[in-house]
Amino acid sequence: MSTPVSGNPSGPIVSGRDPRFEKTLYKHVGVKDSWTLDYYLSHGGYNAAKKALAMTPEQVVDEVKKSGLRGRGGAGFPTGLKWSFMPKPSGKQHYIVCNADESEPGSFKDRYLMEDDPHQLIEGMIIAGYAIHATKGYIYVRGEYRRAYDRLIGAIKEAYAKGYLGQNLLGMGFTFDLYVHRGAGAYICGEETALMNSLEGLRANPRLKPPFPAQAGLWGKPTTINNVESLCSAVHIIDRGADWFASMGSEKSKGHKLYQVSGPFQRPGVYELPMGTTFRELLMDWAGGPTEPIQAIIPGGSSCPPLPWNDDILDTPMDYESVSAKGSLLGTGGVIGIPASMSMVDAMWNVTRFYGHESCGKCTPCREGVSGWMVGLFEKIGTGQGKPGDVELLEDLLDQIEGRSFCALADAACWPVRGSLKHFRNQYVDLVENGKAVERTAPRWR
Amino acid sequence: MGFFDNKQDWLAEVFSQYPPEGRRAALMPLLRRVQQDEGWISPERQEEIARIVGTTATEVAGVMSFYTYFQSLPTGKHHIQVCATLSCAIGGADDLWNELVQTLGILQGEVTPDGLFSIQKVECLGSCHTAPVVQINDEPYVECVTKARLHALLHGLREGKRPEDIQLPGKAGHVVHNAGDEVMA
Amino acid sequence: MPTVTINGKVVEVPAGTSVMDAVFHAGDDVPLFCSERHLSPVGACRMCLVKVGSPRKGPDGNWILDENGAPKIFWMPKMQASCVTAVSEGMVVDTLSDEVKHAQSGMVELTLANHPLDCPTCDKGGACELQDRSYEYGLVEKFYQPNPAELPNYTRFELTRRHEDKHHPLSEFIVLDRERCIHCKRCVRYFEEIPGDEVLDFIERGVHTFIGTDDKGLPSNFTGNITDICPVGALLDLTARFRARNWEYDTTETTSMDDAAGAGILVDARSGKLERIRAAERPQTSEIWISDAARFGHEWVNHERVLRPLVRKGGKLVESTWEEAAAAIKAGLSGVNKAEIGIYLDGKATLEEGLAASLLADALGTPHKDFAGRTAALASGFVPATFQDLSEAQFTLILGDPSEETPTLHPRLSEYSRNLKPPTPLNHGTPFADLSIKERMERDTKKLAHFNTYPAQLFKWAGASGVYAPGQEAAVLAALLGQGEAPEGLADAITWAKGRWSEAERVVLILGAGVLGDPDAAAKAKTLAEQKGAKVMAMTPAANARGLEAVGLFPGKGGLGWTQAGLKAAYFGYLPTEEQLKNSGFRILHLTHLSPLATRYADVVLPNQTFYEKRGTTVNLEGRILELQPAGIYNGEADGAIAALAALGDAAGVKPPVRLLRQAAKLLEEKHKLPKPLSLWRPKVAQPALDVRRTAFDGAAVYLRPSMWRREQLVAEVARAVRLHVEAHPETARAEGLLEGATVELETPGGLLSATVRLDDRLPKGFLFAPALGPWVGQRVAARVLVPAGGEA
Repeated sequence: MSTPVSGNPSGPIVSGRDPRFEKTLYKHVGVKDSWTLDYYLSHGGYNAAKKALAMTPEQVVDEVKKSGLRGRGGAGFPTGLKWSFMPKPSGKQHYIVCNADESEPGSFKDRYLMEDDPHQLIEGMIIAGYAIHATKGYIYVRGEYRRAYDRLIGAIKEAYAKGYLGQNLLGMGFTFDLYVHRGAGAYICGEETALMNSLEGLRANPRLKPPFPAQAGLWGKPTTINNVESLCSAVHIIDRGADWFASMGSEKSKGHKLYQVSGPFQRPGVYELPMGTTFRELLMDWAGGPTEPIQAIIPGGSSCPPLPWNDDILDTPMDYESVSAKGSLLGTGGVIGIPASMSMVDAMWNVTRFYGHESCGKCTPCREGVSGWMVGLFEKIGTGQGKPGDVELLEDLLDQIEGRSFCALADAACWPVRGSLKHFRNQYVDLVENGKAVERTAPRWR
Repeated sequence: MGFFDNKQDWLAEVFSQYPPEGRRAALMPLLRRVQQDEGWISPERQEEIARIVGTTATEVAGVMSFYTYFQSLPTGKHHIQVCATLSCAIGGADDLWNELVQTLGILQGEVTPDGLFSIQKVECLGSCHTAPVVQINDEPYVECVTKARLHALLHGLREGKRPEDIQLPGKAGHVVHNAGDEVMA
Repeated sequence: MPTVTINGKVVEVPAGTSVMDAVFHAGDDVPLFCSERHLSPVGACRMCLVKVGSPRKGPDGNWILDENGAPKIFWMPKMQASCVTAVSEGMVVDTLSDEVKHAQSGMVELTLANHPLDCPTCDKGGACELQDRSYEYGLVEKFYQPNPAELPNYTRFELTRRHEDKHHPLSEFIVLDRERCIHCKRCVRYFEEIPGDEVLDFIERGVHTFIGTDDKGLPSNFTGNITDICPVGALLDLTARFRARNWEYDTTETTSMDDAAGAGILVDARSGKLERIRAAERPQTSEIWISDAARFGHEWVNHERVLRPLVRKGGKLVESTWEEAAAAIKAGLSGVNKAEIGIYLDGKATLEEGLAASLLADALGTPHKDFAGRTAALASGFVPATFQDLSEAQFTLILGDPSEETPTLHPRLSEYSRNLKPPTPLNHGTPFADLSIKERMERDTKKLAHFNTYPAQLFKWAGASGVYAPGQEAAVLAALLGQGEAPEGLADAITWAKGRWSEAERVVLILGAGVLGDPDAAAKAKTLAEQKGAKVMAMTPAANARGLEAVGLFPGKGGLGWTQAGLKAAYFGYLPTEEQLKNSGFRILHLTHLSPLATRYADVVLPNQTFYEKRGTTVNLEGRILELQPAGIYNGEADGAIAALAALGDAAGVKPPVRLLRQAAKLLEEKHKLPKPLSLWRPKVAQPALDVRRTAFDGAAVYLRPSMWRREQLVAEVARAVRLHVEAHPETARAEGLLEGATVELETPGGLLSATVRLDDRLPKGFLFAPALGPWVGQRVAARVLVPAGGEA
């Protein structure tokens, strides 16, 4: 069951089946010893860094700007633009921080970038550090990613030993120190200001903006925070040029993207595909289609509103604009399939519980609304104690929370529930009208 | 004797990673070290860490309690963390949890009488494609956990093997599909 | 100054003002929970959401106009927390639309979701910000109902509320009700930002977040302020718990005489009893912060007061009347030369009382007049610095311990070390969301050097600090003047301080009783200040030192000072030492409380007023005139020093120059040109050369270190809560046979002191550090330690 290659062979590359498309970010994932410096060097490693260091920092920023790369952490903010917010060098320490706190349910792409290709990330950090005048960088890796941490530490040691990090690296006059800082299990650390607080040894509450990190970030110094995939993409943008990157994807969503598939599919995993690939190609071709009937997909990590499983959605290109147009978000590109045998209410209960657990507790709507009331209401509905009016109450609650919290975590908790109410309201109504609990009869475990 | 008294070199290396104004950044690495070695972070250790990084025990408790990994009660030798978030739930994490509770006869917060096991439900571990997933202490994940694999794992741990040395039946390890080719990472 | 439009009203506010304060400035309201004056705005409670719009400039640099030709307003897509949004030119703010009201009522409902409904038994009831906001802003239906008052107050939250510890004592003085907490974080921010003691924090996260401490008993001298700023009844003052409902209190705003800074306090009394002290807002001195001693140390006021005069008859003190007391004084003074009658007031006496005493002494022709805590070098010998001067200083040098000697200074130094200026008042007063204050601001340690006889709390904010032995004050100052070697171990710190002192343009010198009590050290400090034109904050043990000195209440030629004795007759407005009592002839004690010493030695005891009961004036260390107002506290026939001294004058056969407060006030106004309250008064005071006697001892000396607590405060609950320590270097302790943790009794000028031994190797050797608990701060006495039976650790 394969779909034809979409698009014009001379137009932008929007399919993994396009012969012009080749794997770059994940090219070496799964290869034996791919994480070693020798392997990396034998595959053109650190060429991009050399190239970047021969350019001016402004040229590096411009190249990334030109490529149209947008932040791969979920929000899709243009990376080059973010870099350009950094002040001119003034004697102050600048920092580049890599956000490797990959915690959004449904996302696991950064993990293998770090486990199997850590030098690619180090090279990305060097390039970004050079571009923003940062001589120190931190990789904030989520605490549970033990193997990623071990491989990063090993790779950094190798890189220091061979002169790819530290004083006057590559003999090109640039000094860059790189450290790895481990988290300890808090989703909120993916929010960049919370991440900075966490790194500084504080409770990971998000900070006020302004000041933005580029003005006063880590220890009050100008700081830029980028996602792992964004930094790795920058390596190839410098290596192969902005035009190469921009030849993939749709008008406003350029380049290649790591999509992830989880849930009941034949081959769940990570897929590197051009932006604008359709859900159908990802789920039916690459992931081999579902193993049981699917009722909905969450397109980009659990904070994105679920979309019904139908042809219209399956034929939607996976880029920021097209997914938005369908009422959801591309997010991190982590697609979760929700089987028809699972109640949507059950799925949303799980997601709500996740956000409730991860709420930092700083602001009222998130602490009392999401972590307290929404979780409680789902528990009530899910266990069959719901009553007529509870669905309306839930909707009203969403109105009270969404757009009113300190950071986007509460919004992230509201969006999937709101999306599920839009497409699957009948499942909620069925439970509250009939006082039924969610059923968990399908055998889920072998 | 303090936990860190004989770890001065290690401490110096940790502090060297942060600027002088950022001594407090060492808080999490220090907490992690105690958690790894002792299985929990006692009030005495919290006070010791507070002294080392130059803050109060209260601040240490505030930070420590914020993160799932740090434990304020003793845990078993093998602290089994079960991911319970959506993809793992779809993969049967609830059933897995029940199996663990029944097999070990403990609930969250308890330790088996032999001191070997404690269990905890955690949120998304970032291995959704190999659901359900469990993590033992700070070790790499155990993925695609079926009933057979779970029992083999518990058996191996009881025998005193390290998690990665235990041979588990069925589909092993984590699987990544890279543009169509099935790849073992 | 940006011009902004608030609900149609156009106002001008300084650049950097928060939208919240602009709304208040315009006379409108916006509800809030997490913002508080003098604390950083954080935008956490989300109660103050408003709609904000701004005009924009086009690419040509001109305003983009709407169809009417006015600048087009671009509304922000989300409502903004007004406490953390700064105003900008042309901004338009809406706090009244249905959209805003919906958000406000929603946030009230969310805030109430887990809040218990125990208002009837909550001490905050009637003065609770959450109650008030719920009535004003809760329940969205109100806005559409003709009779909103008829609507019930409800929340649709029908799940089980969060259950937490309802009685969690954070310290001996403060109890936390975790169910009532609405997580505004004011208290957590307060501890980090104001005293700088991070002893309270959020624990856990999400809906399970609660306030807690792991530092036993909140080690800080400034814990009580959190009970004032808590918007709900989560943090309560245990000294005042369950005493009355808020509306039953009779509240008096007056001045605290607990230290020389003149903090503003509110005295809450009910049925003639003092039940609670809270901070009053006084921007000139204490802002809104008072020390724990000033707040919690009030139980003594209601505790076993002297309510009527007592006269010694047949060897016993017998309750009598003022008339009988006057007769007894007259009899006692017969045959006593008027010039040998001593008049000694308490250091907390008012300016009016001081004038009455001084004039009476003149009328008697006696040089023996003084006040307790008067220092060897008078405070008025130094040009006083104001808090404004302090905030503008580029460098400040401290010799002494502000946190204990004049605790009100500590929060102001906190402001100073974060480079904050006192806030500019708007129409509504102090800004509620001052955007110049941030969380966890860096402390500018370049601005402070601090030396003391023991490691002081504020060493943490000083670029250089050091400990010198008691008695080395003059040596330290000599080194700072470049006239001598620095005492051991201080060379680097003094070099740094000297460098900063000379390079800074505006400097302030803060001196403790240790320096003021040593004429040599004080003279050097004066030289140091004068060379630089520096202003000085003199932390006198007497709260009204500057005022009492200004009316001449210090010994005249040949007069005996407040620590001396040997007169035929003397009036004491405080309890002197046993030594002094023993060596005095006829003793008139004017006291609020009896003590074994008073019972044993007094010939006449007159009932005195506490400073909470006085009307009058005091002068703080800035030279600022501050008023005292009497609270409604029952004190029987107690009267102030003016009445007592009038009786004394009559008895001595002299017409008292002042009989009534009004006379004193008039004289002060006419003769001393006393300005209006809150303004500065800088009269010239002739500096006498006062005789200081020093005693040398063998072995260790007891050094009376400053403590914010006074002996009389240590009764009832306060006595149990405040733990007294005698501290020593381990070597000294070993030489004296003192074991860590042992309870010992020490002889001090104020009487026996029971304290626990604590060892600290940072202390100078050869001294036992004991809290002074009275005006004897900085003095050294021979160590006589009595170890009570079973007193070992």
